[in-house]
This record gives sequence, C-alpha cells and structure tokens, in this order.
Amino acid sequence: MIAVVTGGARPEHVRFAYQAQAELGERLLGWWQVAAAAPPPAAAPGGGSALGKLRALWAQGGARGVLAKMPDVGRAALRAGGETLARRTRATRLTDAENRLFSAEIAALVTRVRWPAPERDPAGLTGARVVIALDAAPAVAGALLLTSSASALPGLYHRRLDWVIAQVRLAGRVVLEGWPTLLPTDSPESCRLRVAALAGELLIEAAREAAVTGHVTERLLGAGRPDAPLPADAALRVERDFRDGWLGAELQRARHY
Amino acid sequence: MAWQILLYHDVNWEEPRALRGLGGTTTPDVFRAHVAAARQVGDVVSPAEAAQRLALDPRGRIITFWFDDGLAGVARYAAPILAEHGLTGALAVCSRFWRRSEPFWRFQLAHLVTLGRAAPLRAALAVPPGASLRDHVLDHFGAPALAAIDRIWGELPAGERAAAAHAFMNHDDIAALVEAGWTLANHTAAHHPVGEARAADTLAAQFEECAAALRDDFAVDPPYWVLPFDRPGARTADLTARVRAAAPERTLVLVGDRANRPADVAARVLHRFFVPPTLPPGALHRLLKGNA
Repeated sequence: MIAVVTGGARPEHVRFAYQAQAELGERLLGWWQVAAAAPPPAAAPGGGSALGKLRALWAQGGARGVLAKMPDVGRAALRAGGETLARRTRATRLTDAENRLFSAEIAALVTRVRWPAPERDPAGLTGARVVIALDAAPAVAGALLLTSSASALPGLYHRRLDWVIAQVRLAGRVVLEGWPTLLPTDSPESCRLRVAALAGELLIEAAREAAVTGHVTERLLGAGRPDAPLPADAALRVERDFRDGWLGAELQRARHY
Repeated sequence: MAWQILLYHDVNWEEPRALRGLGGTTTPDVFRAHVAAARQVGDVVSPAEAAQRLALDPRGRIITFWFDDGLAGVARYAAPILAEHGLTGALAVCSRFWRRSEPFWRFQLAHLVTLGRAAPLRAALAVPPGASLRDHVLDHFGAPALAAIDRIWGELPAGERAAAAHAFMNHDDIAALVEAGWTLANHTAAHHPVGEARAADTLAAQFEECAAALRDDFAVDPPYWVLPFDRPGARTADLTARVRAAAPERTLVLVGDRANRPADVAARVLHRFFVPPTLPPGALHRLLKGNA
C-alpha cells in the first residue's frame, strides 16, 4: 500500500493528492497532510477564485478527517511553509489566465476521483509499504520513503533552465529527475507550479515501481543544482527578468541551433 | 461544413532532453483548455466519423485531435483528458520508434545539442558557419548525415541512449489506445523527410514498412499516410503522384493549416492546423471559428 503525504494545501499539494488517488486507486492507503489545512485566504495567490474554493473543499475534507493532521511533524513544516508562502506572495502571482488553467486542471481531477477518500486513522500511515511525499515527510519504519524536490526559483534566479528541475529521492538519494515543460508565457509562479506538478508525476511513477520491486530505476539528467543560498531579493529579480522577456528568449535560444 | 484537424505532438508536464531542444510540447493544463475550447466550437469526432459527416451534412463544424510521432505523453496525459469528454484522437506512429529498433534521428540531434555536442555535430555534418544545424540536416538529408549523427550518438553512455527511447510510446501503450477506440495512422518507419526531394525515392518503402508493422503488431491497416515534416515550400512537385502510385487507396495527410472540405476527402488529401503549445484557448477558439 502507498501513503501520500503533502506539506501544505497550496495548489500543487491539492493537485498531487488528487492525482495520486486518480492514478493509484485502491493501492492508495490514504493521504496525510503535515501542515495547516489551508493557507490564509488573504495571502493565498488567487484568493476568492475557483482555486480558493477548491482549497476550501480541501480544508473541509480535513475537518471531516479525510486529511489527518500529524501535529508531531506538522509544526516545523507549517513554520517553513508559512514563511515560504509569505515570501512568495509578495513577489509572485499567477496571472488570471494561468489561474484559470490550473483551476481547471485541479477541478478536473476532483471530478475524476472518488471523494471523499476512505477515512483513515493517522496511525495507519505506519502500515504503508511506500510513502510518497511532496515536500517534507515523517520517516515511517519499514516503509520506503520517496520525497520530491521541486524548486524553480534557484534555477530562474541563476538564469539556468537546466536547474529548474524536479527530483525524486529514495531514502535521500536522487533516483529520478525531470525537466518541466515551460512556456514562453509562463510567470515565475506558474513555473513553480509546473515543476511541482512534474514532481508529483515522478513520485507517482516511482511509487508504482517501488511498491512492486522495492526499488526505483534511476533516470537522471546530471544537470546539478546550485548550492549557495539565494539573496533575499531573488524572487523580485526573477520577476524583473520575466518582465523583460527572459524566459521566452531563453527557450528560443535553446531551440535555435 | 468544415472539418478542422488540430495537430499536436507531445502533451506532457515533462520535457525530455530531445524535446527540450525542439519545443512542441503542450502542457496538460493548456491541452485541457484547448479541448474545452474546441468543444464549444464544434463536435469532436474521429477521422472516420468526420469523413462520413462531411459527406452527409453540409452544416456545422467538426474537429479532430491528431497527434504525430507517438510520443509517450499522449497516452499518459492527452488520452485521459479526451476520455473525460468521451473523446478519442488520431495517432500517427513510426514503426521503428515504438519497436525501439532505431532512435528518431532528429531527437538524437536535439539530445546531443542539449548535451553541448553542437560543435562536433556541425563539424561532422559540414554545416557552414552561421547556418542552422537543424535546417542543414534536413536540407542535406541522407545516409551520410544519419551516419554522422549516429557516430556521435554512439559516444553517449548506453543507459542514456536507451532512456531516450522512453520519449515514445511502446507497443503496449499504443495497443491500449487502439483498444480505447483511437485511430492509428501510418507516419513512416523512421520519420525521414520522404516528401522532400532528397528522400522522396524512399517514400513508398518507408510507408510500407510501417504499414506491415501496424498489421503485425496491432492488426490494423490504417488508410492514413501522414507525411513527416511537410516544411512549407519543400514538398516535391510530384508528391501526390508518388503516393497515388504507391498506394492509390490511401489518404495523404499533410499540415497545410486549413480546414478540410468534402472535395478534400474525395481527393484523399487532408490538411491539419499545427497548434502551437503557447496558443491561448481563446485564440484556438477564434482560429476554429475563423477558419471553418
């Protein structure tokens, strides 16, 4: 059985949980959320939108016990998530068009999967053979832990598209890597969501294999990632690059040979 | 009545190395919006139903979603999105790619360029300074060019070369789409530019090799021969005659960026609109309304 863990209730988490249920079906033990049920509506990108309503649905599910909080591991994740969200929302927003697209994507997933998910006691997490986690996750004895790393900002800040990458780690070791499909019209926020969506897809792919074989066949790009911390104004500098048309020019440059 | 065929390649959250160097991947969220926009404009149907309706009903708009090359994201993302609406699509495949017997030479080229191998490729292919490597290979297509690409490709680790094949569907992926009611089409054995002068002599052999593989692997005999590349102004003047000579009963499928009329179906030549991955849904709506 496969357990899904998310570190929050932002759009990428909502999408990941639904996608996992749609694709893993009966093999899904349940999902657990290790952060707040929903971000503060006023601070959330697209607050009051269709996406906001879906978040509310998500939060409602949590209230019914469909999303079981795990306070022992949740506080740290919540703290980190809250800081990240606050920083992001000052600098990045989905455009209206992007918001409509991602809302439609999540809404379609909602209609595809069985809802509500089977109610599970959080203690059931310990019965999982594989735990897949978008963001942080608790270690579960006896289970393979697959986590993802899906940050766009460092690569965008360094103007290195090959560093805008989704990774899946098995017990801390990178086993899968993929580049997201980016469009010249993307914003920094939609790039971030695309990397997260890809990370979720790779996690599900890895979980399928790990649940059967106990391992994941490596597929690496060898692209590397920057180690140095980003300056405080990194997001604002990325915003400026995007306003200047950097992404479209960079994508075009990569295809002009 | 007009039949508009929308041409896509891959639909995927992920862009493998080769596709990263080519572009052309539509993200699932954008594709979902395209499907919704198309359904607002007309009925989305299979090629077979479209041909029938075009002959019988002179009003309205019919639309078909078409995918060239047999890329993996079509099965994984496009098919479920279409299935949510009870729809299927048409899929043009190359036999050596699904059988994993040969990599797609253009993907090899793009893959190598993204690994920083443009300089040895340009030297091996004698590309003049300032000229486009991509265009040069097509303009000088032939066995020597393919051999030069293969030679540099062979320097990559075996695992990397094998992994590149996963950009394409395998046999089981395609069989599942056939089972779900998708229309298969013949896109030649290896995606050579058989509609252009330098490869035109192999047109019949390339299509017939793929036709045999489609019969052997999927028990289908598609009526559609889908021309690889179809660069504006690059078709041989006798393209249609060559197809007619090789297979009088087949329908030649081009790009052409225009809607199809009953006369096109009767002439067994179809045209498709290439849909850019960045096309906003509203613009697709206008394109479909404006070109009927």
